Amino acid sequence: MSSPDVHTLTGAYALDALDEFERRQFEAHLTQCPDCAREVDELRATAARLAVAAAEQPPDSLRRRVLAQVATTRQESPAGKPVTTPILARAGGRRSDWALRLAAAAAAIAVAAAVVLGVVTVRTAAQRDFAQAELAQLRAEYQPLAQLAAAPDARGGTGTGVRGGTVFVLASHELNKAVMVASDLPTPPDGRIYQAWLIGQGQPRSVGLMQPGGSATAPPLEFGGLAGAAKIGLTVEPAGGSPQPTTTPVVLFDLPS
Amino acid sequence: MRDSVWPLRRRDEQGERGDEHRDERGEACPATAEQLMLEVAKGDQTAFERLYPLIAGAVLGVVRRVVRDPAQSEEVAQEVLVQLWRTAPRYDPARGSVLTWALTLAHRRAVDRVRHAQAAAEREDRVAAESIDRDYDEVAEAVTANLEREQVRRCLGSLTTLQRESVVLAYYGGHTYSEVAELLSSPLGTVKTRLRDGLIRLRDCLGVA
Repeated sequence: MSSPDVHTLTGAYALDALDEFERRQFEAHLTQCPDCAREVDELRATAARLAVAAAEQPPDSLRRRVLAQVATTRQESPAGKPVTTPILARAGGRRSDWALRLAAAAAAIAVAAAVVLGVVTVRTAAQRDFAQAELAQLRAEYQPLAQLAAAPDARGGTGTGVRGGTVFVLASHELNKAVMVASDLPTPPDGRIYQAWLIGQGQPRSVGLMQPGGSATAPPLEFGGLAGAAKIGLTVEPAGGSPQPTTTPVVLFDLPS
Repeated sequence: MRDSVWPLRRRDEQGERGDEHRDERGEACPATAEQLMLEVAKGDQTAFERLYPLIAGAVLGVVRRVVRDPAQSEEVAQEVLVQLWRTAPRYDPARGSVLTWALTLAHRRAVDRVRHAQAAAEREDRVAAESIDRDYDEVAEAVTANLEREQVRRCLGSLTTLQRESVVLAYYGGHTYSEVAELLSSPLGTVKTRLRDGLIRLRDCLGVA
């Protein structure tokens, strides 16, 4: 959502008057627009005055229940995500990287779908075409991830790159399928590419090439043939890949099982 | 950015209740929500008990406006207040006052509750007819309670009708702007704009900086 009129959504956003799709779309915009963020802060403070005007005397029973619950509730650590991540928070449990990634993928698909279906107002035919194309691409890219995530034995594992970045693998041995998503891996030198390997008893087996563009997240890599594999790794190889790894892995971790 | 509504309770009342802080010379002064929050963020339950009366009334009030059902409202208010405790270490003073933060959480949660709990259609039918006049009347009725209400009422009165109705339906009614547009039979774009310029006018009138 990059049309100039997105800025006028500050009011609706501050009043929680956007539906879920638009809310997330706008939150993404907010991270890019400091002026909008400042205006939102002010308008929220204004909305808070409307709340204060509605203040009422809370019953003592509420105070007792709150304090009792507080006494047994652990506080979150200061680091980490901002406090307003409703969808993830609602999912409960640990916000692991892969859950985050899945949620982000789902959100992206939902937003694009909303635009296409006309839930979100689209100004021009061009915007609609763009959204349609984006949706098709996202669906194609994240379809395997979504399917795998639904498998009862799906397990996720994350490896950290020696020069930064993370690699997440979601695997189902029942389906004999896995999906790898890399984010923030350093861009390989010119003419080089990342190659993913399954490593078991014998020789490492190539499962595909990954081409992260800058800090962006590369499209997920889908592969099978998990039997016998214990670890998964990424090496930097000449463009086109190598039959066997020629460099030390930049990421190496246990295949989730 | 500080709310000029702060403190909700008059300072001398706070003092009597023992809600006070020592300044650097060891003299007693009332603790602000922001000062208390620093202690709450370190896990200080006593500080939370002192923070509670400063925010609970407004939290319950706004949830009640949106959710309506008293039992459910208390439930949501409880969730919000506990969430405030839980996430206190992540409170960022640069983004606004503690009160604003608490009320932002409260409104968001109240809205989530009604939007998920009730089928939109069912709600619209029931709420459409009654909302606007009643919401505004309720604000108007409540004025006598304190200066804050008086000021908010006066400033709401300074908006155009469409601005006021849009803001009130969205905030107190918990409606999305497309629902508001439908309720007011106005174009989407117009309502979107009215929400923003209405809030801006309200901000200026209330002196929110």
